[in-house]
Amino acid sequence: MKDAFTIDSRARLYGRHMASDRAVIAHVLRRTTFGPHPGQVEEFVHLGASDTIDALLRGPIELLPGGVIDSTTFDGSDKLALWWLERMRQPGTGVHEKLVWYWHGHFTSSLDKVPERLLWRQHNLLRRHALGNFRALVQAITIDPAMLRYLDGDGSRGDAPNENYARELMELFCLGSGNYTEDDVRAAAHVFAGWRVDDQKGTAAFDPEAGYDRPVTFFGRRQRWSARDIVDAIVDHPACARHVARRLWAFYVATPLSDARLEELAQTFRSTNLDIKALIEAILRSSEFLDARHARARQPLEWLLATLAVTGATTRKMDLDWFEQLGQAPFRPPNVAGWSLDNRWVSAGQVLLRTSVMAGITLDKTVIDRVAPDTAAVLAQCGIYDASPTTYAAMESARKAQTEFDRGLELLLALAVTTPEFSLA
Amino acid sequence: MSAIERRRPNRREFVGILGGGAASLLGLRLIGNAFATGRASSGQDTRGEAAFRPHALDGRAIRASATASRVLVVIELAGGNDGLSTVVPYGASAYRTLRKSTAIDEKDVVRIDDTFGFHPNLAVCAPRLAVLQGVGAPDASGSHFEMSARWWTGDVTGKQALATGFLGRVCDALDVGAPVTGVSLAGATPALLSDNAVTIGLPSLNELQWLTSTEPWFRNLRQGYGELAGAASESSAAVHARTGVERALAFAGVLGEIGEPPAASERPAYPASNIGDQLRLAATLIGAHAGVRVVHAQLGGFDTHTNQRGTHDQLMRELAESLTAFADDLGNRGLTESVLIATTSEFGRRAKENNSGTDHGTASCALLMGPVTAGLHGAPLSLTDLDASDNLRATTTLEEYYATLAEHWFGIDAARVLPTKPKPIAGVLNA
Repeated sequence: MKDAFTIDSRARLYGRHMASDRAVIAHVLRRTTFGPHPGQVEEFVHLGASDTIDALLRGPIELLPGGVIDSTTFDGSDKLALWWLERMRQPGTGVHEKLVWYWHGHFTSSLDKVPERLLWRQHNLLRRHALGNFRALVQAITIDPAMLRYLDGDGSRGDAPNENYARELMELFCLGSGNYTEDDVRAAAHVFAGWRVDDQKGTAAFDPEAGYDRPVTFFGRRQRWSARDIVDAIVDHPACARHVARRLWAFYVATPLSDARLEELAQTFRSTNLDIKALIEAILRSSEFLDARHARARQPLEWLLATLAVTGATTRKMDLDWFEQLGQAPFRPPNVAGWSLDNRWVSAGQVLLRTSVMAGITLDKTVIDRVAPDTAAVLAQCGIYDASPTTYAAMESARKAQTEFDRGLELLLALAVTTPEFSLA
Repeated sequence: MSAIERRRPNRREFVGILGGGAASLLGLRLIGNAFATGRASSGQDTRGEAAFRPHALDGRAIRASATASRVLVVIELAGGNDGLSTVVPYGASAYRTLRKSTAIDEKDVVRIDDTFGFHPNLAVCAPRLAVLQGVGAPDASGSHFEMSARWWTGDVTGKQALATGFLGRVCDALDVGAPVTGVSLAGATPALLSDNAVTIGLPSLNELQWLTSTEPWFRNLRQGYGELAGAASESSAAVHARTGVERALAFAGVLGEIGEPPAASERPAYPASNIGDQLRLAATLIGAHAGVRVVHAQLGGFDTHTNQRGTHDQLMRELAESLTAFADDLGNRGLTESVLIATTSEFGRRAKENNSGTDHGTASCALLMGPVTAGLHGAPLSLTDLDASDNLRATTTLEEYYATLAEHWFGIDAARVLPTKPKPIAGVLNA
């Protein structure tokens, strides 16, 4: 099979050596941030891939600012989502911001079921733990008011417990199916019962009256368990490190994960007592990562933030409708599994929608002034340094068909953001 | 208004284009055969040597001309619909014991017989509904995702690792080279993954104006898309990206066949809901007679762990009102006899409720509307003979249900589209 992203096509644009370096840096930025923003690849290329990854790992860790946004200021206006999108589209964000986005899909909660003020607290929790310790993250999320509300821990009673959180904690969040039994789900549900959420205060408290004060058999051990014990047993289960490594690999690398590499990553994770930063770093430093260009679809949010960046729309008010239309607005996951990473995001329905969205975006004056209406300049603007011959030819014929005076630049950009090179992460 | 926004055709222009026939306006050049290059987009081919493979297609798939224009509309009730609150066993004493906060009173049900009655909010469409009782999988899992996958792929065991969906294989069997054979109205669904037939997940028609605009800018854009679509073989994800562009363009062929909308007075009143919007669009697409044979719609929110009565009552209302408007719309278009509506759901709920709702269960009921024999079909669920996990024991497998749709509606042998050789259920369809 012929590789679509051939050296030939890169060489045609930039010369073999430079084009390849730029394509790799663009890949690193695409996967670990919401970029690359125009000019960013050129800024990092002198560092090389390894130092670029270092720099991005050292990026800022920002919590929600007090005062500007706090738990008292919400009025159902999607203020939190808009604040976050603003934050995400800033060029200076590093690994942390993208990882917060990942965790929001992993330990997801939805405005459909949870008040915004509770989600604010959960969001801050994810920001605090994103690069921290996985055990601490799971302990915290288990009694997080938004999660208690989203997966029905709130109101669950020991005499007839609600199984929703217990099941998803094991199936989706920590272990994967096949690593626990239905009886484990029921036992954990009993232990997790008894928590109550106070909407006004935005806090959760345990009510012993509503709990289950008897031994249960969980993972084959019959004893009195606390919620904390159950979480510890789950994250200490051998499947947990593998599950988390597999899921993060699918997000950051997305090419097949060998058994050997999986064991190595799981071992790294365990030996650091489940340090998320250590796992992320091991994934980004794996030899597979740099070779995994265009291995998965860009999720709609990744695609749209990048599209806004290349059209220069960095200062315009963010339009949450666009994200909702495309199927990926923050705090509105389709279900408890968050958003998929599969090829549905490059299917026909997405192309129809993305084109419609793109046709509604106004090019910023600075882009019009700075970017020449030719194929090479537009590809560079979009962070594409490995265009396939097909992509290059399609854009060249569009350039010939459409004059500069009749919005030729817009046409080239609309095509560029539809190419596989841009649609894929 | 921006320069690019001005490039978008206005609504009046768009309607005019739709009246025309968009294929001739396209100005696109697909490289290669657009309808022969579609691939199941599961990312990888997971079928082993011994695994089920759909038979090669031939003309005999479609038995009689009577079936040649039939359409199937599947409504997925996502989250796990509580069958016991949809078709209520109000006459069974065990029902009162198992259900307290979620119980529906005998005086409120729409009576079917001495034991069963429909949920009160289904009243408007109840006389038209056929019910297949006790549908599920014998060895069910409690996971939404695993059970959804079994329903999407049509694999009752969940062990076949099929790369295509049941509805996608039905589309393959029906494929006559139409621009689009299968449409999902709630985004892309694995249920419609196909080998050959073109299937797409569709947004609202309002987003598609660029696809048929006659302005040079849009023609040039589509020209560019046509060239992007026709790449040589390359990485799997890139092939999917190009197939997506190709299929998006193919949809113009369907849009071109949509006529003028009916006069306001003749338009059925769809409820203002997402499922209402989906079914309205379904009627428009089916009415275009442009080759769409399978439509997938979705109504979510059935995962009623808490506050079941309030949530489920509202969902039943939305479903019933949308179904009624849809049936009326189809009637106005003369399509009553050629459209079958069938619901699916990944599982039912646990027989015994928790304090305010129900946890994940196993078997549920399926509802069908169109040329069906109204009333109950299949064996009822037992509320006393529960399995080891206190769950209902399915009396009909999801494959038998699917076999009924394939054989009795489309005349497609079940063995062509399902991994086992399930027997269809007699008497459900009246067609």
